[in-house]
Amino acid sequence: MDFTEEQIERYSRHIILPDVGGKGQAKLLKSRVFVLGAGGLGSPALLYLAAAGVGAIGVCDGDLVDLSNLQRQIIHNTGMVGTPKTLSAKKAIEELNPGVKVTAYNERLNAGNIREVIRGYDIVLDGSDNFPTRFLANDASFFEKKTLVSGSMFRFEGQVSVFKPHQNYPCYRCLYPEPPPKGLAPSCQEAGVLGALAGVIGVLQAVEAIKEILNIGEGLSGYLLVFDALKMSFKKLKIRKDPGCALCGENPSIKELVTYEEVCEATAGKCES
Amino acid sequence: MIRVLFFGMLATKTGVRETHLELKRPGATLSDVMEELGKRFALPPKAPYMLAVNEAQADPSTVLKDGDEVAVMPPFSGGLG
Repeated sequence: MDFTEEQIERYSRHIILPDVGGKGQAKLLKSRVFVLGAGGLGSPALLYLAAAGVGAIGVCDGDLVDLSNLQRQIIHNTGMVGTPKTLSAKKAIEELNPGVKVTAYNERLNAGNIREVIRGYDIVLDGSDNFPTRFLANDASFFEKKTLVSGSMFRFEGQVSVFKPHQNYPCYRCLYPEPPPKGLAPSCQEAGVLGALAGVIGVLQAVEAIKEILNIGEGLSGYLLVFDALKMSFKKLKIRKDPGCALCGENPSIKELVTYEEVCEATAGKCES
Repeated sequence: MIRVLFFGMLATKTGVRETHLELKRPGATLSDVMEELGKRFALPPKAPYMLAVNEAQADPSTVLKDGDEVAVMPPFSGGLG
């Protein structure tokens, strides 16, 4: 593809990078990434994907920007409090890089619409903040054969992985077959999170999504990366595809999308963290 | 002696991030160790933890040996919206 002069300058630090080059940048410009949640994880991920020149970004969130979000959800700003997060995110992305086509989904994804929505994208980046959405994203990505870049947090810790069950790697259910019972999911009061941790995990997700698009390096497929901000330590656990997985195993019992109930009322209906 | 690491919600529930256990008999499995940890820390029996031995996901039937490191990893949901 031919770059404009503006593109050559904007993406020059990618274009001169041996593993990216003009060819890689062209791949980025043609790529399509769907980001679930314009919250703690989605904010930094969206900004870096947009800066990298990902051609089309879908962003889904049903919430309004709240003052308490701004401790970590850095795509939004104080003037946007009360505005739908998708619109706030779209504006920030367009200011950063007008070349990105942003589609805002100001709604809650459910079993009835998620497959159709993600079908138009190459990669799904999960920055949701609740188990029902996390399982829905996993299952829909499996059925649509989309690579899922997953990130999640708890207080000072974060997990990142890339799920590609369609390429013989594990899915989220190979690790966690079902959402945890009520008593074991963190309660709303316990669910505080270090703001900057969201930056670490969300940016790692953006890195993995960009590597997937460029097809370079070694991704986190088959690994669960765990970060502990207090210890400042990373652990990379090898994970395996479960032949007995109810979704992607040899005799799957899950043949269509399942709807789980949110156990924490404060996060029900939201799809960001 | 084996080393056990707890993450996320489990570190909160148990109050520790790390503990050590003596294997009670040769051939002791991950499942045996989980049972003992369950008693010691009052953990619910059928909770969905991902288990890893020496940084690789492992089945409960995995036989452990002295010096092994067990990681008990609950799922993280996200963060507060």
